Amino acid sequence: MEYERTWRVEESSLESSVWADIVNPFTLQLEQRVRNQYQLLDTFEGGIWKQGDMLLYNSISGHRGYELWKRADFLSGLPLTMAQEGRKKARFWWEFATQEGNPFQEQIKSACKLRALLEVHSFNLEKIRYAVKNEDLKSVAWLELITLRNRATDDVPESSRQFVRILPLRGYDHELKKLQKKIQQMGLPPCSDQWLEKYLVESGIEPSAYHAKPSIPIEADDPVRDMVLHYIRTLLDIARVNEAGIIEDIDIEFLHDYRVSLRKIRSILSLVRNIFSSEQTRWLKREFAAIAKRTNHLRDLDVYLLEQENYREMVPAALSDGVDELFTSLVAARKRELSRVRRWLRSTEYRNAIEKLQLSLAGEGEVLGVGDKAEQAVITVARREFSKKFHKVGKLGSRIDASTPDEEVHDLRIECKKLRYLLEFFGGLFSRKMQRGAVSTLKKLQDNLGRFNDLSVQQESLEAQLKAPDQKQPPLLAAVGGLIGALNHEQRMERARVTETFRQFYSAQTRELYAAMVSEGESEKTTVQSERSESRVKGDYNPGDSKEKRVKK
Amino acid sequence: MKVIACYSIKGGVGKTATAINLAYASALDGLRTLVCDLDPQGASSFYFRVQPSKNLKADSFFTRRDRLVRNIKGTDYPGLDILPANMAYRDFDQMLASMKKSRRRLSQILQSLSDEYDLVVLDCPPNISILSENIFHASDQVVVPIVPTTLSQRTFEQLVQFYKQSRLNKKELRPFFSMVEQRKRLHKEVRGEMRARYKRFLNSEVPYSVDVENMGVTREPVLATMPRSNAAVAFSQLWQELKILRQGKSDGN
Repeated sequence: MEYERTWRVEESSLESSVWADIVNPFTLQLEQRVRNQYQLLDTFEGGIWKQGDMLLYNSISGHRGYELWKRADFLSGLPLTMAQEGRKKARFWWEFATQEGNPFQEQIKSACKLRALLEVHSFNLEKIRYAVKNEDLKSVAWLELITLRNRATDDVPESSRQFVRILPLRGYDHELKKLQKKIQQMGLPPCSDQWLEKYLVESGIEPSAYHAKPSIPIEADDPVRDMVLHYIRTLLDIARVNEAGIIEDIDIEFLHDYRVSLRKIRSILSLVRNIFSSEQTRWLKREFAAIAKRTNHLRDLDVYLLEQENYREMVPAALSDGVDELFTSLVAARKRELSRVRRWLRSTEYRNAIEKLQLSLAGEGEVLGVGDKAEQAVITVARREFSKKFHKVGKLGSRIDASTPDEEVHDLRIECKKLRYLLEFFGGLFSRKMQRGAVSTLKKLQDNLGRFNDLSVQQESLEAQLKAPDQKQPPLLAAVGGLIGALNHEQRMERARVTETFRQFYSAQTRELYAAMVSEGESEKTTVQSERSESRVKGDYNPGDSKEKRVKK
Repeated sequence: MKVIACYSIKGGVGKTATAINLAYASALDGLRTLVCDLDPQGASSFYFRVQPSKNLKADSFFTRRDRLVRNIKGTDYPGLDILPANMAYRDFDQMLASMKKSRRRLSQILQSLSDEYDLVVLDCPPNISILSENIFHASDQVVVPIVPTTLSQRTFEQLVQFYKQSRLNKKELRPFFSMVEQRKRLHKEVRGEMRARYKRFLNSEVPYSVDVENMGVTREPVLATMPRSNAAVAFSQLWQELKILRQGKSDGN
């Protein structure tokens, strides 16, 4: 029989006659008492939690510092890594004061990315360890009494949780079983090894509750209007959850997610037509566009500041003073722009506008009117729109060669983006494999086009710097000039790759994949077919192509 | 995994005290450490309050890894385990004599534990036998406690002779002075003489100490109960010295 290892208890000490009876013929000897004051830290998305780890800041003197734990090992083994407290409180993964060779930063890097660390929860943890001794006074196991106390609700008695767990000692299996059996017989409620998770859930803490991408169940036969309403409502909720983070300027991803959600709403409004009255659709589009526009400049500045290191590397050392100056002015501009966005988000104007939108979207009835396509089945609309959009992307892309004007490349980028949103919106209708296939092939093209676009946006706004009427110092002007040149060079390189990336995207394999998606008899069979065609297409490739690609890389 | 033997032909020289304190220091340093009590008298086992191994016969010790592993017990200290002794160990020599490759048996069985432990400390019985030869083959360092008396000097010379005859690597012999009494003139003379004669004497000297004698009562390493006592400090230094040697050796490889 398997015995439990952890139980819920009510007492704050094991030095009682009850426990003396439980462990008899063994005796308990107090060995160690440890107190920790922990802060659970994570990003807004709970990135560290999602990777199965847990970042704790211990503020008890003597143990002060950061501990990164594999959650399953918490209090059983040792932390994965530790970092000392630096002079300044670390908010981003790169700000932790670690010595060379300490993998701490690396271990949280991919979980945090650009996200700041926030305090998710504060709790005290007290651990009292008792050795279970036999008649020789040799330890045969340990019992640990663990008390967790929610610091946010310190005065509420129910805010504390107590657990007893038994720790085995090698070679004393017999004694361990005997103890487990006796504790079990006491009728104590057993507790899984995830007692810390359990405690957090009971305290209402869920570090990974936020998801930037909505996951909405999708049914092929549902009327499309309901589906779109549900989708937009969810996206708007996501956008609004990010408002506080933008106002507090916690990290730049709050604004990013806020804007992406709004952009998806606007896309879906233009992609799926005639589901509301045309007047109401126009109103929705206008309102969302106006709201999104308010944050354009702040996002541009965020992207710039992200590029700081790249910019420095792009220009010769002689121009670096000018780059410094440029970034000083950008930082100042961001500060100004942030307070403008803050004021806007806090304004009654914004609040009224967004609440009115939410109200109309929540209306079950006719608030937004019913267009003539409102009742169409989701799958019908999905097939139609995929077909249209894929053909449009195909048409635009096939026209592009070395002499095509940049505007047409931008048009292609926008259509690709719409196709991507369609995939996100309707993707759930198709098999996982099809979804993934469609997204991954499109993503490569989008990355190429996206970089091309970013580089052109960056040049434009640097050019605007040159034209601005304010007095600028020669070093700054020189740096701006140097940067424009370098960016232009990079942009041309990106541009040169477009024809080839498009060709890779618009392969026979992709065309078959979309054909399968838009055809009536979509099934597993079609997936298999497209797999077979993949090998055939590969066989058709001119070996010279791949070589060329490698050289470019 | 490295193996350190605490060995002496003579009994009562502080061999077991050395073994368990070195093992304790090793575990404290974070090495996964196993004490292997090869002495049927079971003094190490007694110090760690562990009962003798029940079902481990002499023959299965060398042939049945699973049985051996099943008899390993955790001590009260993290990272420190012990394979307790057993009266059946008296039959080791007879057992080994009947086996093929009878001088490498211990080495083989210990190496099978290398994924579990970083260091094995052998507490050896005081005699010279086939088991001792196995111990010499299995160990990276053979630590020999020597009470600075004329008789000890003689037995150490016997050990050196044995090493020569058996073509063992003399460099692995690491004698040190144990139970040293600074006030005794004889102790001083013998120490001087022997240090002049044998280059590889360890610098650390463990003094004669009531605290070490009391280990029989406390049943804990003196390093755990009285870490600031003279004897504990000496054991700790001895460990540091051996640690440096071990690192030097593994770096050389």
